[in-house]
Amino acid sequence: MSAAAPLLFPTNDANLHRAAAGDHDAFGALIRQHQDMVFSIAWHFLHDRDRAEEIAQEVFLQLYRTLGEIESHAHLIFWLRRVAANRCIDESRRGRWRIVTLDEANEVARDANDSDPLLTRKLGQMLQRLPAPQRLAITMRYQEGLEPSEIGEVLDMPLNTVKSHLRRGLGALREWLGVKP
Amino acid sequence: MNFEDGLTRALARKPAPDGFADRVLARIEVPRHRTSTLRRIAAAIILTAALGGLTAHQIIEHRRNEEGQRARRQLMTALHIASAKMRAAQRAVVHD
Repeated sequence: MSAAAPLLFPTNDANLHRAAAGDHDAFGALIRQHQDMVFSIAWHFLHDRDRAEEIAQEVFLQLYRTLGEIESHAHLIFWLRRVAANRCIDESRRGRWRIVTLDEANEVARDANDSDPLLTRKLGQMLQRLPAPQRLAITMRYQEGLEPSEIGEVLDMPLNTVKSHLRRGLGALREWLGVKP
Repeated sequence: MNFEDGLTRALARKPAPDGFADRVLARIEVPRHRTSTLRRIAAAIILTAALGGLTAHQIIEHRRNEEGQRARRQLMTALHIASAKMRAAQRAVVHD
């Protein structure tokens, strides 16, 4: 598996401490620094821009109330990924997420080989058919570039469970798209 | 493009909507600011009322004291006058 997103992030503990001390400008800077990550986790899970923003906003509002417990910038990133993932799972349990029908999926599979941008777009849509844990594991792997052990920490899953979710999720996507392993 | 490259591209981070951070900050700051402002207004009203009441009470007490002192002085003056008249009358009776 290849991982594209960077694993390392610039540390900015001073900014974090200023935000924890009530500096709103520093908190605004933290939001701007990590908003794409949080929004994208929700977006790839829900494929709904408005609800992805709603979830991402709630994650940062929760962060604001929890800032005193965040020990470092690395902890902050871990916390944001975990809370974003949990919020997504909560959302899926409410049953409000959009379900891609089998017909839509077949249409996707037919179009998948037409062009690369289309494959990219359709892959994103196909993800919606996967069960929530598989979708999150794949998102953490390919969006965030995390190793399975790191995914296990973020999603609070044993390593073998993460590997199983990745294997099954990727297998399903390949099958739907008619891609040979 | 192979399957995993396609997946990596499909799952690349998307930019958050414009103004996202400002909207989050607004949700934090509006209630805090409103609560803080209301608390300040309430505290100012209470403080003003307390200070006003205390001041009025002190003014009234001061006036009462002054009136009491004035009445006391008038009474003493009256007593002195009465006493002087009595002594003068007594002396006149004794001489007669």
